[in-house]
Amino acid sequence: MQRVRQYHDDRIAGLPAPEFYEYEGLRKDGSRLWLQVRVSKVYEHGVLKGTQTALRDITERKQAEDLLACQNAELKKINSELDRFVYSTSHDLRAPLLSLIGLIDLCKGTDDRLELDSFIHMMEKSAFRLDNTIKEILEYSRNSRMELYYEEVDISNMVAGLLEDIIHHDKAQRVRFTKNIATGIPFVTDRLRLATIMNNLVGNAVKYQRVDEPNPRVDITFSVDEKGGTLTVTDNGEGISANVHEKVFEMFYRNSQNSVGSGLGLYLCKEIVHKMDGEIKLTSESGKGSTFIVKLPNMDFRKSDK
Amino acid sequence: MGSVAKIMLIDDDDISNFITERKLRNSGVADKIVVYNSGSNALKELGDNLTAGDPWPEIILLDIRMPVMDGFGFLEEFILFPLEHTEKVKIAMLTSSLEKEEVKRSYLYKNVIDFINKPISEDKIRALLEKNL
Repeated sequence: MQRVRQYHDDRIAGLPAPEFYEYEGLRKDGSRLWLQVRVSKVYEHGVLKGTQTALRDITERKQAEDLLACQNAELKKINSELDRFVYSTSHDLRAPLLSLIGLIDLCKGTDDRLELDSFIHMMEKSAFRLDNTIKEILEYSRNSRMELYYEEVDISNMVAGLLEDIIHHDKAQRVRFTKNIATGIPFVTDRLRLATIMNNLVGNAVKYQRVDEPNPRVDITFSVDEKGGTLTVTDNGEGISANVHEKVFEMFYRNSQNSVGSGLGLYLCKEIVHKMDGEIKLTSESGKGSTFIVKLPNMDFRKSDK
Repeated sequence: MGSVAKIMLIDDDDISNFITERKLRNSGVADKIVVYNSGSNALKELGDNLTAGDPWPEIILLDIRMPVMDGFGFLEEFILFPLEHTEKVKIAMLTSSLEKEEVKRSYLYKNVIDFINKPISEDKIRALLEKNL
């Protein structure tokens, strides 16, 4: 109120002051409102008769402005992401494609059946890599576009399905998987998004196992209570040194010399977790394996709270 | 076409390396081709060469986008070697990048004499060797 008074006095005294003064106040019921104050002098036949103060409730306009500022910040983020996206896709999509072009050229120059077989094998790998990158980009875009969809999820079933798929990969042959999935309390979440997170974390654990580790293992645990569910994926693989623990979640960041990925996986996980109001944490030491912990709210119990 | 004793190839992409190495062999421009899948491994090898008194490559083919240390990271470390050794080495960027900025940035390094878009071809190898002469 002090500042409103000051504004009023300045206007009357003819001191430099803006035409309007806007401030945020409290209603009697404790809710907030925005007011616009306008002070003007009233003349009659050229003689100053007094002052007139007008108050206007501008709460709606202010709220609209706030929303606009939020949307603007969001747009700026999307724009700068798009820039990096275009830059990185020029590499990540073109690299396997250019390999294909190079291999086709090599095929033209030989009649040797064995050589041709090896070229075709590499062409196949390049095509799969290209397809994989495109799939990850689509998953990323699906996460930012699609509304969250909550349903009760059978975690044991989800993990079993994931392991069934992953076991077919060459690199999974040596790995021993253990799982410890809590049952009893129902867990309600976005099924597709949780599956994407799980796929990425378990996939990474398999991909970045240590070649010199005689017993590579991946442990998957899931616990659930009224508030939320906690997914933990632990491995004894390459590990991640502490100075890049934040970086691994950045878009297109690839940390491993042996990296075959697009650098989108953990970025995607972070974005999904963020969207679902959860958190993702990493504890790891280079050469000693990694543990990723994902906490997601249990939507069922949230609803019944209200 | 001229030829050199040793060419070093630095790229994290195994399939791309296979193609490049094969093309280099087919064109017969080098007696020896050494391949490294990271900038840090290549730097270590160059350091070891100096200690052992082994000759350095005359030409380095260098990828830009690599995990951990990218092509520019390699260049920054490379120029810290003694000038009497580095000044004899010609570097060609070998990349899928189409970025004008990266072309410009590459040529800021005295050693960089070429910017080659993948996949490499015998024509491009020939052009590089001519620049080296």
